[in-house]
Amino acid sequence: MLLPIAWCLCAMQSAAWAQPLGVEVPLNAWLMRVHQAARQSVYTGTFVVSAGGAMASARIWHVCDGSQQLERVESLSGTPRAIYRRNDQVVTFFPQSRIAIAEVRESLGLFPSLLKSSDSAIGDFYRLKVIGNDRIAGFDSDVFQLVPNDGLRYGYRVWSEKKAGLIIQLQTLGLDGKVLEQAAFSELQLDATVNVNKLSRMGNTDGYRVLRPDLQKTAADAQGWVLQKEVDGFKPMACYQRPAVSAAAGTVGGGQSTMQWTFSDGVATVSLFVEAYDRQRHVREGMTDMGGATHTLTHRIHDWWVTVVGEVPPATLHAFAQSLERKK
Amino acid sequence: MGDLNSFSNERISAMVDGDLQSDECGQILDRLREDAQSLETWHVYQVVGDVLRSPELAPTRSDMAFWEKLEQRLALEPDRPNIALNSDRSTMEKSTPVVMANIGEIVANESVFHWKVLAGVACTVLVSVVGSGLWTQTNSRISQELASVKPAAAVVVMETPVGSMLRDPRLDELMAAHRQLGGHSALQVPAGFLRNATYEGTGR
Repeated sequence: MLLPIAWCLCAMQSAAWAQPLGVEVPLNAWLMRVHQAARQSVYTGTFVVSAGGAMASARIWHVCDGSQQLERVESLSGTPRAIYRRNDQVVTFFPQSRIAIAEVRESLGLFPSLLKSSDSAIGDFYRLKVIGNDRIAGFDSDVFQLVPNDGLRYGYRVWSEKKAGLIIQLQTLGLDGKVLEQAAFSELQLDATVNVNKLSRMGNTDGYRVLRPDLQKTAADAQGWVLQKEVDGFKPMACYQRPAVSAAAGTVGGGQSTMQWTFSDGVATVSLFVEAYDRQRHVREGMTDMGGATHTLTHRIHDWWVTVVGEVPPATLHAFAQSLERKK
Repeated sequence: MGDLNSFSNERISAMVDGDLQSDECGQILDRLREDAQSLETWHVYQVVGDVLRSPELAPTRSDMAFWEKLEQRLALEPDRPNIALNSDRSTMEKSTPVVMANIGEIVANESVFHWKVLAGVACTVLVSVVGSGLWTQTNSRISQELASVKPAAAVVVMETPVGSMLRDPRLDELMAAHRQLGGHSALQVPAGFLRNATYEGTGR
């Protein structure tokens, strides 16, 4: 009985996205759809990211088991590593160093509840337009464009598979419309039979030394920092204190702890890092192109050194750096 | 004098081979500290030992042929235009211990130098990737491991087709931290998470 109803709902949903070109469509409903598709689909594929002239690829396995999301990402380029995810629990295995890093990514659990809540203001800062149809990785796709309403954020072009809405290609567009970054499935098998054994490694860290990043939750206010003026659309998400590594360890971070304050407009994210100013290490203030859509800005405020990182235009990072103030 | 040198060299050789008693080692070490030539001899013996133990370190005929070909090709390379860095170059030159690539005078081994810069960047990225998940740890054992892969603290400026790009190990660490916690995006599942899991950084 449930099956025909589900089929009808699915057909209605699909029809709802068959819009004429150039027409604006409701953003939150669309975001909910692509989010649901990501949660409910079973797939395997090869995911390719290109940014700033560099390219990386990974093999992906994804299954959902009721409320559980299980995912395995195995790098095909760069440092060999396998990432296992169960909902917001993420374990990264580095086979060469026999180290496993276990973390909780709270941000993964934020959606879709944020989209449902009245707090979501994504629609105030982005519009969604229907661009057309395309064929990606063997799947017929709807192409949408997320158009920013101001110059403080980038636009996105999104290819979503027609039937369920799974995002199979995503481009980040610069203010001039040029592609800054692209992430896409080069090969995808939807509703594939995935051997759960492939994803059950998560709890098995035998032979690996397990590290858990020691992040202390804090509040920027409690650390003595405040944003004098909110940057349009960007809301504070979380604030953490990253403990110091001893100076003798020889890491470039030295012996200082660092505050990381994260902001999001619902699509783009910015991290504000604040650490004690070090005359030896902190020598260059200004903007740095990290390749792709990511920029960083370093800025000295009295005895502190601020680094702003985000997939946003330089003007946004400047706005954050100018707005950050030490409480009197 | 020649006899004295050869006598010393023999003793240095014996020390490298581990054939000397500790008090004799102490004397030789004192001499190494005071005499640059003895220190050089000690270094030569160390290199000879390394090569004997690891044949892959010894240059072979094919290596030599490769270098000869490379030198011939470099000699035929056309001159490249001198590309100026952006406006804040002068500030950076004053204040930053930077390695500049593709700026200033064009030198005969420029291409080789370019590869060295790329290799340096690759090492930096590798180190930062290894360090990315580890830098938050206070565990002393982890600290020791990190110390063994201590990255160069120097900032490297590279010319890219779209302008100058700066590589700084500390920035790479903060980028990794941003990727770890910065996923507050409606496009996070699946695209954002997969993007960050797949893509570990630029510059490789």
